[in-house]
Amino acid sequence: MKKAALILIITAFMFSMTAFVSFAEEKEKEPFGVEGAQIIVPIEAFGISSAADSFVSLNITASLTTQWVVMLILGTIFFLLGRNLKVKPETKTQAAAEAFVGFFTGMVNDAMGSKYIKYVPYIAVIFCFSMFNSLAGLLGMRAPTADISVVGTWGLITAFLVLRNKFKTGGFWGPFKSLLEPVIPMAPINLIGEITNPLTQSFRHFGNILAGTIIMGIIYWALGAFAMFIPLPAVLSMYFDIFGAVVQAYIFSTLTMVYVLMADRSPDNA
Amino acid sequence: MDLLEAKSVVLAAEVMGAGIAMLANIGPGLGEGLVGSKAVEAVGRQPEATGVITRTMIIGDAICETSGIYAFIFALMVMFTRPFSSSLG
Repeated sequence: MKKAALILIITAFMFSMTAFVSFAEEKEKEPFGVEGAQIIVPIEAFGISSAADSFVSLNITASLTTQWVVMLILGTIFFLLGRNLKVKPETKTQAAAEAFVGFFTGMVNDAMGSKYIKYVPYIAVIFCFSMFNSLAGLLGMRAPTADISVVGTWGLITAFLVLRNKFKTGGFWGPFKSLLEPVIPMAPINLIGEITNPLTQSFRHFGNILAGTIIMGIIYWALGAFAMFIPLPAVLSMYFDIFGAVVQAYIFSTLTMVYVLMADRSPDNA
Repeated sequence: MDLLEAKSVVLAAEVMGAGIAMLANIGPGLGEGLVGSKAVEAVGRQPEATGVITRTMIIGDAICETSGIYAFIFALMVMFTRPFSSSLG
């Protein structure tokens, strides 16, 4: 009985606050718009302009500073996890660290086999970095992964890893031979495929996170001050921010592994 | 036709183009539905392989989604940068 009364009082309070806010919110809304990452320190050097719409720029943007914050947080977490390791685990910290390493070792081992076990650190870092960068959107910052400059760089890293693996397993002519497979006239199509792989990978990540950011932005914009009393953004944020961030990080690292594995040209893998 | 009218026609065509570009999301929607239905069937047949099936399903979903994401980015570019109507001045 007391519970019902409490719920009734809370509901009445919420409705009255909503009515109050609707009276207070008289001014006209600005139209919804999407902007690029905010420029924090404009840098003009080597003849490169600091304008927001220039293709090449050296500006320190909000996505860069958010990444620095994420790097600091991740570095601290990993430093604390990696301290005082013993052969026989004694602390909970070491158990957590072992579970973390074990998870990524299993992931790489399942997808690529024990031959590529050296890729564990890179895959673990790209997974955690991507996930934390996307989750930064929850804290009101613009997620750095909603910036094509950030995710495009990661796509380029994958492209370089693929090229390196082709050189490593196929010799000096490995990448060129792979272009001529299965028949020589396929070369232009293979070349397009080489270029589109990192492009699709980065655009998928970028587009998904940007879509979530924009949808959440539209909902917050439409609700206005009501967002404080209606739990709709919280529910939708579970999907668009948290689920999207984790899934995109997982897919990005999995696709990196798949592309690197597909580039293997050693005879036992062909 | 005076310039104002021409500009409004171009603007309307641009916004409509962005909307039509988003029609491309029909394909990924159907594709993800197929992926999900097959995954549910597979889990029903082999409940012990749920983890592997879910992982494969999520990757398949993501690859299905790519063309939809392209359409979305294109629509965004047209909607928020207005390349054609802004070039008219």
